[in-house]
Amino acid sequence: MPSSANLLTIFIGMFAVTYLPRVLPLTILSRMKLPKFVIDVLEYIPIAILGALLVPTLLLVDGRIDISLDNYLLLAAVLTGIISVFTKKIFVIVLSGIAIMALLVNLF
Amino acid sequence: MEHLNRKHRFLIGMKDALPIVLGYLPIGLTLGVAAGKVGFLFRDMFAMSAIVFAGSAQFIGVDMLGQGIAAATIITTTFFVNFRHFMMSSAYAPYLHGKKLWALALVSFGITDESFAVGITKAKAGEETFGIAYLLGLEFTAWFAWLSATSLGVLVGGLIPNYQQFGLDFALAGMFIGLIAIMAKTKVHLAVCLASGALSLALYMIGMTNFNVIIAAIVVSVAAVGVGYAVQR
Repeated sequence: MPSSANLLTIFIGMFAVTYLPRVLPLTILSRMKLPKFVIDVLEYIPIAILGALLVPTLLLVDGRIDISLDNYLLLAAVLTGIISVFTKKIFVIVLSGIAIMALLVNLF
Repeated sequence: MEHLNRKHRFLIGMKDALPIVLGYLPIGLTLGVAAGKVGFLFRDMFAMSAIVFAGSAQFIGVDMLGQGIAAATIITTTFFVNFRHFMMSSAYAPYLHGKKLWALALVSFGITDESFAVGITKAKAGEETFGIAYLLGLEFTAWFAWLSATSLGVLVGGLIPNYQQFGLDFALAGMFIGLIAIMAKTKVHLAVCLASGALSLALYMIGMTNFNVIIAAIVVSVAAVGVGYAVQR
């Protein structure tokens, strides 16, 4: 394990490569007039990103797809999804989901 | 309706960060414990979380440091693991048109999966609340929670209670589901979300663990727009 000083140098390197992709698009593109096609695609990108992040998280357990009742995360997600049809309040959805998850973990 | 001033918007940002804070607690503690095991000190974890602020890259980084892997490799890996954030940064652009450069530079630092999910939903809702002040409140809170949880993890080591029993594992997934529900204004949006999820999963399974999100999101979004144009003819 490197010294704290050496670690700091590494962290700064990690910061640089992390920060550039975060800052460049926003600063550059927000100053441009974007073509209609780009704006139309960007309309869908956010929800596409959320789906792309969420689905693997829910379905993958230790690198394998697990669509069974043993996958509590998935089960809680399905139930929470149903709840989200009826309310769009984030707090209600998140807390309900956490409660469902706690029930599943503790009861089964 | 009263026009919200910057302080109000900042505070609303902080409030909207609460689900993220909840989600970061178990994950951050876990990372801190793992880091402590390979030799991180409190100040090392604090520095890493404060400076890098990227969960998945930090997990991988801690693991690699524990294995004695070279710095150049760690930094390169970090680049690829976090690269998807360029897409999120791009998605913010239309909503932050004309803002001052230093403000954009500041809010860009805090672009993570979670803060982006909350932030972009707010932007798309078309409420006046969204803006630099809102994002600063949101991201600062998330950053502070992350930095605290991870640093605390190093301190308490193996003394962490079994937090799974509290269901906190589900916090972030629950938040994502709620945000998707808010953003899914049309059936097309929902279809895009599911298709992107499926494609992302498939790409991950064939080994594209860093680019699955980017490729899935872009491919499906472009396809949806293309189909939309074709249908309009």
